[in-house]
Amino acid sequence: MSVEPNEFANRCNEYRRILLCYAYTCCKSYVLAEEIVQDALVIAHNKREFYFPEADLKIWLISLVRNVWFRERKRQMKDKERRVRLFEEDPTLLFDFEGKTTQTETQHQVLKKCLEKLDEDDLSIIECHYLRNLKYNEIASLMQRTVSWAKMRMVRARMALFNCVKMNLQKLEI
Amino acid sequence: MKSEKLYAYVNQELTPAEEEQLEKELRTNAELRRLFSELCIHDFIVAEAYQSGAIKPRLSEPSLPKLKQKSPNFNQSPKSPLSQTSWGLIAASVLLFIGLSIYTSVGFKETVPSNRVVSRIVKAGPNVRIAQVDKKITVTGPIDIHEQDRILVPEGSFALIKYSDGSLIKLRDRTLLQLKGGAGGKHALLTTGKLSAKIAPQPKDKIMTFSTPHGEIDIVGTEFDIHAHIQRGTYVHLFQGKVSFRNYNDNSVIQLNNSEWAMIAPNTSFTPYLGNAYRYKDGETLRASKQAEWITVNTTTQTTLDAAGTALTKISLQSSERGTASINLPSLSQLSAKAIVIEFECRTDEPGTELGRRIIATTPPNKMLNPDPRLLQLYKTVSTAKLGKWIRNRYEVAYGSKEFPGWFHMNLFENGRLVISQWEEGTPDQFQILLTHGNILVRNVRVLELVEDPIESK
Repeated sequence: MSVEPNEFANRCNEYRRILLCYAYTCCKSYVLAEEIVQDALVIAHNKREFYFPEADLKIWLISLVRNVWFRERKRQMKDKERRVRLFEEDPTLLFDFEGKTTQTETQHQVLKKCLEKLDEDDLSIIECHYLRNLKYNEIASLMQRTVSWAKMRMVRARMALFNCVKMNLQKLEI
Repeated sequence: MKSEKLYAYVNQELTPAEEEQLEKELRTNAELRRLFSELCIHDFIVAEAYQSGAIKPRLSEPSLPKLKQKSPNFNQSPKSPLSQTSWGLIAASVLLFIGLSIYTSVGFKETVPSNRVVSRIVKAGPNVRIAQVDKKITVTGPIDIHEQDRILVPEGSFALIKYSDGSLIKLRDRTLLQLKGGAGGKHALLTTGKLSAKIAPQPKDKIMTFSTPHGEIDIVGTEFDIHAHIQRGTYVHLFQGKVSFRNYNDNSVIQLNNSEWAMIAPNTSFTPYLGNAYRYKDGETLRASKQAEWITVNTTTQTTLDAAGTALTKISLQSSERGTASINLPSLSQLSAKAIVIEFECRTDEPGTELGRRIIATTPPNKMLNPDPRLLQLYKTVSTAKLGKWIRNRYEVAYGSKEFPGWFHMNLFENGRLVISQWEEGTPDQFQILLTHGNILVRNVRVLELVEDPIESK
């Protein structure tokens, strides 16, 4: 069945953020996640003839992202063996794709407020991790601390941020 | 605790056994699955907010490290003139000294080494900060620098440091530096950023040392630039005199002479020596190499891919000269390929031979905005352990689809930066193998059009 290219592209774009979220969970790199999603959307666009309108487009796109990620993962792993994790194997089992991935602006505002509450150490670690994609050993080296300190502090900072954002979003009833 | 474990799970920090145990729980526990989903979404939102610029970083790059007044060690501690035994003796001496101070009512605060003035900032741009043991100061005029002080130069600013012997160090923006004095000579720790220095001749037994996270540079008296980046490595550009450059990773040392530069990449065991250093009028440095002139060797061979897209074109190139071997690819806009993979084998008999690759290829516009960081690797050093053996190289070089209306040409890897040239319709895509140092034989070059389709492969 033929699908109008523009209409199809618009429908795909509706799910772009969900796809990005899943790809990011798998690869833990925002830049790479964007690449993966883009490749998946290119494949979807080229294969749109094979898509049946009655099928769930979101699930189809997610499985494309998963397959592109597997190709990338294979490339990254090379000779190394690493087991496939549950959410990589079956995205729908663990991932709540109906989750709150749409209210971007509110989420960012809440996040901004919560980041302001963090002390400088925690904020440094959060920025090193999310903005600069540094690994524990690099963060430890940059902050002149031990790797175990960086790990422990990262977990605490992330959890503090997570709890703060969650609580504030609940207050706003999002 | 569960959340911590889930984070560790996503970050691949659990052992396979722990992962399996957690997955068992996830299969049966809906509440845990919900928490997992929330954590993942939250994690993504934070990354997205930073990466999209929705949230500006509160801390600029040089100020990222919290200003701890700990011993300024990197992963590999910089060369210290004092052994551990000596430290024990010093500790004992300090205790004795404190005891004497109390006894003689001499205030010991002034004699603590951390308070010793080592140099002076004579000129500074806006918002340069000095982090001292107990406070932070914004530099507004000439100010003394003490041993434990850290100098933070934010974006768009600078700081000029002058020693009593006339040595000058100019810190460029986004730089973090700590200066130390001591019996062994001057010592500077450059955590990140860029500096230019003109060092007056130092006593032979008190040479000046610059440390970065990757290596250490010993200076007797010279003019040079250092650029340290935690991920990209440390570059040293020498304009006058001699310096020795030690790689922390394998302790190898190279000597740089007049107008040379060298680089240590993170976690590499080889310090490549690459050639001449030049300085632009505006103070920016330019890396170039007499040994890395790009000369086209052999004839450029036109490749064709058959309609099925799976056929490979084999090209054999052989060259013992320095230069490039180019392969022209048909314009990707004519193909339905998702990716093009280039494979070739190379062999060298000369240690330290360097092989680079350059891609002039088409890419969709939105790819241009988000270049794959994996592609920013410029040079591949042919390891000495593999001398005389053929090494297989495989690079995924471009993505393309005829569905995209516009095409851009990218010239990746010029001096490690991404340079995007203007769009030229009909220019063939090109992949170049570059030989920058040493000698090399290249054979069995083949171009593979990736037609892997996840849907069909299912």
